[in-house]
Amino acid sequence: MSIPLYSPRMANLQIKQHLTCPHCWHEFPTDQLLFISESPELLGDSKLSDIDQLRFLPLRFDINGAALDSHHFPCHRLACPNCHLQVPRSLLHMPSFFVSIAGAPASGKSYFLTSMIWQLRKTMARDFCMSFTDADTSMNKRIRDYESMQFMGAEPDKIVAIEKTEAQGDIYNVTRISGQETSLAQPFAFTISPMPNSPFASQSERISQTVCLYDNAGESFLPGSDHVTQPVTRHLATSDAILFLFDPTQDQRFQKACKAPVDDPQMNPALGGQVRRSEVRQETVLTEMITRIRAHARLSPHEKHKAPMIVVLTKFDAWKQLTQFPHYYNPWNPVKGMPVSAFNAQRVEEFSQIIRKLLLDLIPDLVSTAETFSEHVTYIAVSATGGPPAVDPKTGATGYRSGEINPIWAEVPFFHAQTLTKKYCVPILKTRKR
Amino acid sequence: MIQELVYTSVPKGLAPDSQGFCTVACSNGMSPNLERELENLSGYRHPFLPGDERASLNPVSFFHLIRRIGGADMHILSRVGDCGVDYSQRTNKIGHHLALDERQLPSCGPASVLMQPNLFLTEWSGPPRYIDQSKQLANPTVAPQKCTAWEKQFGDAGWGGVVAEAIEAGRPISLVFEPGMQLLPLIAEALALLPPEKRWRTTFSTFFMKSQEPGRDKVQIKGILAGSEEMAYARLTPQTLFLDLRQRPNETPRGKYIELARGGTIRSAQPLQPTLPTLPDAALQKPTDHFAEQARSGKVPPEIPSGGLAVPVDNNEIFDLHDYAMNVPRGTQPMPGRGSFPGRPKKSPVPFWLILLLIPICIIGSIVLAVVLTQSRNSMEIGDEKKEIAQNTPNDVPAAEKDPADTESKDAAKEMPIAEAEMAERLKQAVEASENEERNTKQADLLKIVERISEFVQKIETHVKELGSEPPNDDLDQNKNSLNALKTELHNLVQTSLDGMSNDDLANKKAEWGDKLKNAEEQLGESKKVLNISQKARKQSDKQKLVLEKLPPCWDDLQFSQNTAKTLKDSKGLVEFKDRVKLTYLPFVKLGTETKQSIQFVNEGPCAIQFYYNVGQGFDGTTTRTKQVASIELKETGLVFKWEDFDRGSIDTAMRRDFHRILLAKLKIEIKDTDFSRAIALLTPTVFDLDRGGATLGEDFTLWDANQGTKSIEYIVNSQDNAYLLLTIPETVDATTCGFSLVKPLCFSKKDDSVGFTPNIQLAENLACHLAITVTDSAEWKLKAGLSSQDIAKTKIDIKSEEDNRKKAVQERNGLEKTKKEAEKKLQQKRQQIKVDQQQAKKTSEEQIGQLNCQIATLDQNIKAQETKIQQHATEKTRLEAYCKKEEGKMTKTPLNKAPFSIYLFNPTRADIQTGTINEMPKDSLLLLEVKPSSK
Repeated sequence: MSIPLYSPRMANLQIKQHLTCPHCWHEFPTDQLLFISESPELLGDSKLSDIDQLRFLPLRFDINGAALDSHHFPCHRLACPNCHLQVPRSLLHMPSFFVSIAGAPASGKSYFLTSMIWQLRKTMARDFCMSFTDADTSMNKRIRDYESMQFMGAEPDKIVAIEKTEAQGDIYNVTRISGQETSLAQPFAFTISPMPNSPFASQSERISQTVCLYDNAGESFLPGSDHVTQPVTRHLATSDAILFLFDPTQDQRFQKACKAPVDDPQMNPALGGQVRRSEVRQETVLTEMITRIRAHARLSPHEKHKAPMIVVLTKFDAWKQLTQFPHYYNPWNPVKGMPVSAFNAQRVEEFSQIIRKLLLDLIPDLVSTAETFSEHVTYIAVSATGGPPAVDPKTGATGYRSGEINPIWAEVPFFHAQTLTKKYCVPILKTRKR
Repeated sequence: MIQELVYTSVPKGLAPDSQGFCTVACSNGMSPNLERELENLSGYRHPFLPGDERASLNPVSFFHLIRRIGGADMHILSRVGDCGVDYSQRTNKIGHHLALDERQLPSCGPASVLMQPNLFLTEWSGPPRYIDQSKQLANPTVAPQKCTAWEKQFGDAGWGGVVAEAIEAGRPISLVFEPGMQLLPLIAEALALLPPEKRWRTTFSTFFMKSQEPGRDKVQIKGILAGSEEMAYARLTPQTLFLDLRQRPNETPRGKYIELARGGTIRSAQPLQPTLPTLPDAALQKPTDHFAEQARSGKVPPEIPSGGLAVPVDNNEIFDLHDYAMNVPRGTQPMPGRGSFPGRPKKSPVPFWLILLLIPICIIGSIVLAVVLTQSRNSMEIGDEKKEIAQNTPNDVPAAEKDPADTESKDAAKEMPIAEAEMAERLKQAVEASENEERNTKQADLLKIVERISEFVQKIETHVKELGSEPPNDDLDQNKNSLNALKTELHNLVQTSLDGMSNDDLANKKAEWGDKLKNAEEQLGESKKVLNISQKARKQSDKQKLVLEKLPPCWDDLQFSQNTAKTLKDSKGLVEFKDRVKLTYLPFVKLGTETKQSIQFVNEGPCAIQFYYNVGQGFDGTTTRTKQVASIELKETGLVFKWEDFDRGSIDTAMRRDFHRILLAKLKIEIKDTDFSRAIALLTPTVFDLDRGGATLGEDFTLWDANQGTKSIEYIVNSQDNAYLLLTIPETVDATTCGFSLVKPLCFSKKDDSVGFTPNIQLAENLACHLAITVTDSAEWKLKAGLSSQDIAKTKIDIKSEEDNRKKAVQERNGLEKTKKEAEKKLQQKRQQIKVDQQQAKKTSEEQIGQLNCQIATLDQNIKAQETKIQQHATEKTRLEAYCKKEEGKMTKTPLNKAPFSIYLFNPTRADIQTGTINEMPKDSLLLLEVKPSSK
């Protein structure tokens, strides 16, 4: 008589011993994870509102392995023991990669994030045989709405615009931490794992990742907006990489440098748009961000931050005449004999040097501030939309036609951040030393 | 001062370095807490983005919320709405908030205040600034009136009353609307039906967003946009009044406020004056702000309205619904002071449990009172009759019974014979009546006893039936017979007719039957006691039977070993236990190789096994000392495993560990504690710090792990939840860790009688998440298990020393293993060498043998040839000898020179010659030479 105990598949099950909550960045042992009750009668949570399902530490499990709440409903959703907010299950198995996106108001964070996600979904599957999917669809609802609006509009000629990200409201989760009502930023969680045709499919366990991205309102990065009840930007201190978005179109020095008339209503009022002039300089926002990171990551003033910082210069299409970069094509090359490409970080670094030189000429304080702070700073120019915004002649509203949006290098900062942190999930092209 | 804050998106805000969404105006001296709270309430979601044709239909969120800030309740009246596009050509909003403390609340209610025109800004322009002057709020008289807005919406104004009743009852209300609908007039009408103090305790939002209800701060009336994500929450809360404004309900509600909402009159002589401020639809659609208008036209920089809309508060006009309802003339009804509002529905001053307690007391009291009154009335009636008789008695008493002092009346009776006869007759009737009354009373008493007896007879019958259902028993049979006799006796008593019995008989019968009934009750009680005992015994035996039915087929073997300890080896290795749900396998594994260290079990009772461990030889050297180490008990819930504490020193540690391991790995353990972690912590001693790589657990273990060989896999079973936890220990064991820290969860399986175990990843995940199996300090386990601090301290010390010992042992073991491996390698090499040598030697010897055999064969052939030659020579010799003999005869005739002859030569040695010992010539030393004469 022999009883099959388990399949060999079981042997590969790896569970992380410690997790970091993507909401409150609390690090805790995995065994403290809470479950979210499913019984409709178990409403009301001690840290959330009365209409939220109760969170509980399970004591009993059903025969199928689901935790049972006190009404014997099988429960599957997990929650952080600190903030009681839902945690994607993929965090249990896969290493996480946190990326913070920071920048001044109207610097194009939401557009950039939307384009980046859209491009990553496409590029990952097409060029790297990797799937880039939502870890939790409910958490990513907003970004999916943005993607639908920007890239999948029913009417390609219709002008669409992503609404301004609010500093309060429904995009933030309110919970009670240490007896205090606290607003926490809603992360966007994705999983990256090799597709079956990938040559690295057998190494799925090692390669797969859970990526958490944060999109804050620019107002949250302004001086004085960091508060204990609204620690919406504290992910900066724990992130693996920081993408600081710098909008050259808001900077007068850039505007002056673009002597020729620019085909962008954001820089040329003659086109019906409105030239943006920020009252708060973007370098100030960077300084404020660095101050916060130093405070929360407990860095001394002379210590450099380990996480790489990528200064993403947005709206490249509006000021591209300032640069002369000969190789502005995708920084990845196909690998001979394999269905995947390899990311060419060297090319990005070369381009970074050109942008750095430009910034040193125009905004040297930005370069100095960034390089004094982080051990590795890269400058990447991107365009989330690939072209200037259009103005609706009827309503005067500014936006983009979904049929004309063609992002430029929107996904490159992400790949490069992974390369710099050595948490890459795509092949990296090795540079030959001469 | 009423505090204000305006929040919108501007290039430069009020605070330094602020831009985008920020505060552009706020009251001077506003506390940071309040400012932050109001900013947080400025969230807005655009259902329609700018450029959309329906952008003008973006709903406005008017809300009244109560927040506790700085220890005081602040009433926040706000308007948050769409505001076109901002300086960056993106969506914008504007939130204008008023914060009032309890002293500043106008009696008209929050909805009425929110409906006041030009109160809130709908657009902002100009520089940010602080507001110095306090806004003055109008306080119009608000009285209940016909809910016209509700009538327009639903066709029945009564729905306003429905909402009002729900508000009063403290129920949450969800109003589902679609863009373009105005909720504020509806809410205002409903609130107008309520008393003023309740109006300000009602929180609402005409466009509810989840961010408006953080934590415990509730919004009672939620305007929920159809299709929004808040729809999911609309019905979640129990008792929610859910009204979909898009469709007219078919119901016709009824109620106090509903009637008020319909007609606006309740028993009132005075018709109601509609005093609710009515606004034009356009105003509700988008309240105009003349400051904003001015700002737009560029004439005058807009300013915060300050006191311009002030309407003097007339307390005399404050309407109180209760006054109205009771038709009390309106009088001065000042607003209740601070803190006098009832707030959310107040609890009754009398606790609910007290009410529950008082109700039965009242009922019992009323019954008792009724009985007492009835009796007293009867006694009073009897008394009255007696009085009446007594009053009549001086005239009615017979002469014989009269006192001698009444002789005068006797004489008078003689004088009046007719009257005397009448009197006697009346007296007789009175006496009879009295006797009848007494008899009736006694009969009634007796009848009561009879009723009790007949009831008791029924009791006896049921009891006898119960006795009959029990298995035959002497005591019970005896009781049954006696009770049957008693029953017939009592039955006969009941059948006895009471007619014709005198009062004395009735009294005697009453006493007699009462005694009999008492005795019978005692008898029945004793019988019941006997029955209970019998039933208990029967249940016990049934239980035992049930348990015995569940026992495995090999239980007989165990029974057999009750007195004689039987080694586990003899129990065939595997014993099956059946419980109600599933099979549980209990493999018995003989531990150790030495016979003196084997586990034995002794079966004590029908459903328990006790494990004994032979701890060595007795003092006499022959007997075996045993110690109980564990016991398994079969209960209704399953097998219960108990680990008995025993002296560590008395048993070999390795054996103990093995025993632990096997018990934990192989037994089904009922974990009584529902806390899985704790149970496992309790059941997990520090025995898992074993070298599991080389563990040889015998065939049983292989049997259970057919797929994985003898890799160490453990599982712990929680029978209550049907959850089976499979745990494994990695092949390489880190010597620094111990306990379950070595154990990695692999899978958890359910057990099915037919299928066996089924892998389950999710359970593995969940349990792994839940179980603190990653904790490396076993002291922490103990801590989790809820042990006292002293125990923990002890454990820590023990663990430390044990860990040190273990480390040393592991090091030694590693060293020994290394040397063992080396020795094994060398041995193997030698063996191989020997083998090779042997093979070579064999080969060479075989070759040599072959050669030798060949040589022998050739020699044999030579020998044979020689032998044949010898034979030939012998025959030749004999022939020659014969010939010689023949020729000798001829020799005498033949001349010597012609005849052949033989010459014998003899060569003696020198010694022989010297000694002269030659006496005769030995034959073999002779050399025969044949001499033949030639033909010549």
